[in-house]
Amino acid sequence: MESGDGSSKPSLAAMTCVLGDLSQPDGSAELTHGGAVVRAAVYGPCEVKMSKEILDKATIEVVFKPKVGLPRCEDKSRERLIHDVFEAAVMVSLHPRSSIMIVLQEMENAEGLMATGVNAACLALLDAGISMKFLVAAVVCFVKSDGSLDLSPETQRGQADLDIVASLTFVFSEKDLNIMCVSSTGKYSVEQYDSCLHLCREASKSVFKFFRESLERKLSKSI
Amino acid sequence: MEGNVKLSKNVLQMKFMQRSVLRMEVEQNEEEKQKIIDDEHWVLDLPQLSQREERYITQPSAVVCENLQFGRMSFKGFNPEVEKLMKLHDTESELKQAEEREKEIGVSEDEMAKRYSALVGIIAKKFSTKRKHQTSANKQDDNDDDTDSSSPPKVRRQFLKPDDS
Amino acid sequence: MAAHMDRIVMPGDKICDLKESEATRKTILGPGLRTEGDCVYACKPGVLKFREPNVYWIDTHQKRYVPVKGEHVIGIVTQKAGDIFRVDIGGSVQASLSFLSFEGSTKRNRPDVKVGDMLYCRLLVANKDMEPEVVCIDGQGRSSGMGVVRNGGFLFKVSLNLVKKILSSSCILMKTLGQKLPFEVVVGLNGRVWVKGRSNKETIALANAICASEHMTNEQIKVMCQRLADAVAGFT
Repeated sequence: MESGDGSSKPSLAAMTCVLGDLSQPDGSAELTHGGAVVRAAVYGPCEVKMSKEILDKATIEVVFKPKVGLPRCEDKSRERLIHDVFEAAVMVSLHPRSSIMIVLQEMENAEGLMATGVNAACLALLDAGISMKFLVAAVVCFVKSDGSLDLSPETQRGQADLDIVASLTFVFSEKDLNIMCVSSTGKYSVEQYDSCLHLCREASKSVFKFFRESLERKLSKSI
Repeated sequence: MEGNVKLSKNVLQMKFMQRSVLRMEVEQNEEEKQKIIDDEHWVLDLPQLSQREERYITQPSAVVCENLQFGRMSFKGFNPEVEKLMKLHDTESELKQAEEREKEIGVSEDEMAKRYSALVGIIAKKFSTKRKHQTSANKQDDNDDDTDSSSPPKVRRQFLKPDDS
Repeated sequence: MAAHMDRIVMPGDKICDLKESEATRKTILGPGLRTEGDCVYACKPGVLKFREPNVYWIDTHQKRYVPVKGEHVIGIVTQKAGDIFRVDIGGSVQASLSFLSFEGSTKRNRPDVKVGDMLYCRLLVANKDMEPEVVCIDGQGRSSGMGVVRNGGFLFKVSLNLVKKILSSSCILMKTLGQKLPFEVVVGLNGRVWVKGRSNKETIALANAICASEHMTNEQIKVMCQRLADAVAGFT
């Protein structure tokens, strides 16, 4: 993660997280990435509503709460994407007829909130000790009006946003760094997509490294 | 039993053979039934699925893995009943540990038996002289000799006249 | 085996070169490990532990209990329905408990159990596809320490790690506390702990000591217990 003098490749903004600071949920994490801050809490495996019960696997419920007001359409779509990602990553067949609930609270909004949400949820699941097949990490990439790519735009609100023409969020699994999910808005070319993908895939390695370091810090207490 | 011996009709008609006749009939029926079943079943000509030996045993309980103690305890005579139980658990686990230690240091029954079966031959050899050793090999041949076991070889070594007839 | 011991693993990590027992050529995999074909993967984040001769497991920090057959847990009776009780053991569903699975109980002689009672019981059935069932007797039909726990005391919840730490033979917490004060404790593997001292003050002090010991070494525990004993002596 070389930090940005203009000539070097675009790099990720610094990430910080706090694990397990909430007493009530089974696992929790607060992740700060650039300007975006998301708090995630995980409950489960616990009881599930009759209507949501699935006979052969756990129901993953995702709730995304915006900073103010009621959840809107975009929050619902984020919920859906995060649900699909974690249904693949979590070993759902281990806990049939139960629910694993992921609650995400937006604390600070910025471009690429979705990526921070996925990463925060993954950290919270790790904190809860829920069985997973592999880790997942999300990285967001921005295409600017001059065609340049950026992984972490300066997020003084209302200032840099105008410059962005498209944003692409990739979610990778740690196994072979395969894409699990792509979500994009705006206009971009196929070449731009490819270079974004390449950039994000490289950047996801440092996200996984960050996950490991955070967990190591937490677990070193108990050794 | 007498599968290849066919008894004649006349014999079978005799009264004391009736039971055998019945049994033979039952056997024949069974055979026919089996044949029908075999014909109806389709069998793929595949090699038999071998039972793969699992290298791992899963043990979901941490109690067994980590060797955890029983969860009820009492100290300084607060609950005598529980303390009695604790003592019981303690002696039990001590016994188990001792047993494990012994197993590690000691020799298992199988090993012992194997070792002994190998040793028996070696030790037996040690006690027998070379000469005896030879004789024991030849014993079968000169079993019928009335003389004691050391003499026959001597007899053998005598010069044997070629007969000129 | 030093390479394996106390290494931090994450879900999806492949774990190689596991030691197998010499006699049976097998390896025992504890919680947190799964197999896929011939390979072993971690499925929980935690510390990979090993015990001679061939046992491996992952020590995870966890708060939620997932029932496992044979484990002793503290349950609370929530409902009485005909022949069975419903018992909350902290899992995803409540466990059932037949009124016959108490020491000396028959169809005529029902055990004296009420809604809200605390039980120390053993999981007889714990299967991901079935409702868990608990019993208060061992294989010989004796209670052997299980059953209703009454007469005051204090019940509190701790993490599953702490419970395992308290019960491991290498931890001196209970022994040291036991040398200082008379008390009784029940530890359920579902993260519930019940303590009772001579007075309420002592009970609270004990509960605090147990909670505080989560990240302590044996040396620190010794110091804490001494301070606690001094403080308790000062109360009375």
